Amino acid sequence: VNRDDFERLAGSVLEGGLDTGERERIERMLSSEPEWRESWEDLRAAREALASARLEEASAGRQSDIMRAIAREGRAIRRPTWIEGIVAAFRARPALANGVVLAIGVAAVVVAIGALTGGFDAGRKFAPSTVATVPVTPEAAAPVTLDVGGAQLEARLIQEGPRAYARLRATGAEAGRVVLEWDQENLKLVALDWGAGDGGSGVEARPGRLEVELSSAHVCDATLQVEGDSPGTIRVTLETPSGHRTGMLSPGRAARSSTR
Amino acid sequence: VVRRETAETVQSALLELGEDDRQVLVLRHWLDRSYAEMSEALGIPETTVKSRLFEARQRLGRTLRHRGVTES
Repeated sequence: VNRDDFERLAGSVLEGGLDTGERERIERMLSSEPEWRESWEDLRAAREALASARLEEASAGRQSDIMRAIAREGRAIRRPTWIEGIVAAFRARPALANGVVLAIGVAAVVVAIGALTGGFDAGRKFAPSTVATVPVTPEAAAPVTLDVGGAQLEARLIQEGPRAYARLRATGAEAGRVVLEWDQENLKLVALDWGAGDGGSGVEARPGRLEVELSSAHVCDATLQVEGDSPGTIRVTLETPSGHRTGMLSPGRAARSSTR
Repeated sequence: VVRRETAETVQSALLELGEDDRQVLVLRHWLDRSYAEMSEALGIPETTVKSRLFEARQRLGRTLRHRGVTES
């Protein structure tokens, strides 16, 4: 038995997907090789400890540390957002950017010709048979604005395939606590990312719920995995000592719109 | 209280791991990501995900055993 075998068998045991023959094989291996036995005890200790020490059971301070660490590593964990993907594609392939500019130019010329030859309806007849796609800006996702005392929050939800991004932006002068609540059957939190400042203060996460403290001009992106066809809606609440306000976030798709 | 203390110890050990280790453990055990999802999120093959997870569990387990945190 080599290390690869042990790794595969041990992984299967820990994940609970081992048949009887394999289980007997690993038991023989553990009883005959002290080295594997030691390694096995390490693996089992880690798995049991992780299973019994869920993130949501940690103190708020520890949760903040964990989430800050994950946020720092968010670039690696989080897939690029649709806009980052487009920017990266343009960076890698300048011809793509030129192509989009050209497509917009052609569309403008077609509309202009249409207008000169009989108005907008006629212009549509001249529209190219292919569909020119342009990205929707994040502003296309309908924002929810909440205002409590001196604290203001602008929140929006953008869906891109299996990912949904809840963007929270504090626009008021005062800090506030933002609570997001969703159906955990529809969405799972994947990562947090702070656009500015030392984000991550007062973070509390548990299945179906996220709480973050947002100070003035702070931006926080919560990346969520969409489990079904739709992320559904997310309930967003802004809490301050003066009171609280609640709204519902619905997804504005980052998919591209079509113009003819 | 004991449970919370254990949670604090585990999370403290987790924060001491390298980024690669922490990423796979959090994604797998706390965010319930599948191997395929982790592969996609991290941009590495599934075989590498499994291998990285194996090593991360081993390092975390060793640290916890040294600190007296053992499985229940």
